[in-house]
Amino acid sequence: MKIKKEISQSFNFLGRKRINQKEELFSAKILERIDQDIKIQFKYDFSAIYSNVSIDPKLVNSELVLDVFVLGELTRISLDKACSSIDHIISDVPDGANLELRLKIISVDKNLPGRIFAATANKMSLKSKDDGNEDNTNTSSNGILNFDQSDDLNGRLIHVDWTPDSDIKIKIDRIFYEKYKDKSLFRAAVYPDLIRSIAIQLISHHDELDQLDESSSAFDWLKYFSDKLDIPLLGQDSIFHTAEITDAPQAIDTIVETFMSKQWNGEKTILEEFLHGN
Amino acid sequence: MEINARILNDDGISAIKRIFSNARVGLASTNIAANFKTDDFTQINNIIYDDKFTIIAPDTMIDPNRIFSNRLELGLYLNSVIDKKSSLSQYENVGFWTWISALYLNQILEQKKSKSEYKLWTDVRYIPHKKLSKLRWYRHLCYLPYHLCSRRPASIAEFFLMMEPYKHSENIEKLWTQDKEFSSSLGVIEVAKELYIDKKTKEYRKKYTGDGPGSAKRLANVIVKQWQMNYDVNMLSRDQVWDLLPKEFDGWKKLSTR
Repeated sequence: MKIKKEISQSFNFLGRKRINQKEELFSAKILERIDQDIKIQFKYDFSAIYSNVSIDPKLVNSELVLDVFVLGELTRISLDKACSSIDHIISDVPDGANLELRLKIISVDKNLPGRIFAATANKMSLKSKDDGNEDNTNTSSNGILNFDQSDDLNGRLIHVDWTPDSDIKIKIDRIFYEKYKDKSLFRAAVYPDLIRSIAIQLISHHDELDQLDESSSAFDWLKYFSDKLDIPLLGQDSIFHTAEITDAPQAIDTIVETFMSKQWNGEKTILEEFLHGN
Repeated sequence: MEINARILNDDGISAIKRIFSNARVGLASTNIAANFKTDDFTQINNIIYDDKFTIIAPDTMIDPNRIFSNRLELGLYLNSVIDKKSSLSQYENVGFWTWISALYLNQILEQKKSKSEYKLWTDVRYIPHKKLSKLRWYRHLCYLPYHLCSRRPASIAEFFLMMEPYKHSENIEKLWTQDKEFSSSLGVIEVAKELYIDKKTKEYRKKYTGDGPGSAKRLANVIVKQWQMNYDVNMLSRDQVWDLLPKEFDGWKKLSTR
């Protein structure tokens, strides 16, 4: 069967819409693990998801599905319009393996086979029942900015390293840190270089990013860029792909520019805060 | 003749590790293979059938003399003898998967030109970690073929495993681990087999994992990722995938014979 051939370049989404990853649309968590079987619960608001992407389910011959990937194996779960929650057991999940989820609205029209109308941009992580932190999906920025004070930076303010455990170590000049850490100058002087250095490290290790241990600080920074700056470095909407290495400088600039142009607490950029005070 | 499969106990695992470690004495880097000698094989064989170092695995018979011409044959055979629902099927069963590695060690180590010596690489290829390590588990030379064949149709597993049992190849590192929708889509893998495997020789075409236009690496890392924007890749048929391939694949298409 022939299908319509379309050009799909990096920025051409050809009508595929992005389902926002919001709690009011859907949420997933692990209910229990028995040996290698994991019971997950997926709560969803069918109408709100379709509304979120401005698709009328009455007009489009489609199906809402949840794809679950474990070690490269795909399980597809069909989500019924009449329900708002589904429990599903995923088998053969070794301890330590990630469950990755992607929500899609797909075509079931025989004239549009294999077409996606809408999908989440990134694979979602699950909430563990026992982690004791119901808000853990939104806390990626907490506790990741750890400075190691150093006297050996040879005139630089900061130096960023990637350790074999995928931790991003940030060294900062001790005297500068002690003198300016509480001043707005500190953020204006340090953060652009800091974010650029971290972006360079993540992009330099791009091949490893989808395998990062979730306890590593590299994973936290990856989530920070995705959640807070809306710049994914993985998944379908990643701004960088390893095979397009020449795009790396532009991707790094985009990250720094987005970070520095962001108005923190809805008020001022870091530079504005320094120039005009609080 | 089939024998009872066995599971190494902690002493057995330590003994195997010690033999491997001794073979590596003096090596400057883990990027260099150690020489594994006939005497080393003898020591291994003395351990894997010894009741001091092993226990019998339940309900599992295995042929120690079976010869595998490629990783696919190894994976399919292990699937035929290991119950998927038993604990033996789990990567974290260090004693069992180390024993399997030791049983077929002469096939999962590459023979050197001298014939009397074999190449021994790092432990991760032969001994699992106690907890699944996201960056390591797929490098186990026996577990990976088993895992792939237990979860994928042979027609998909074939694309990743058509190589000698001792090879941990670039197509695992660069293709299989890179994109879930690439490795799980039957339509994509059928096309990949046509493009990158010579049907007559059953060998991968040169530079198929390179960075050049139309390479398998670009298919997995760039093209399929782009398709995922608009297509439910797992539902695409072979013909649909073939039609969607951009011009850069034309050269590879000409090489293929359906």
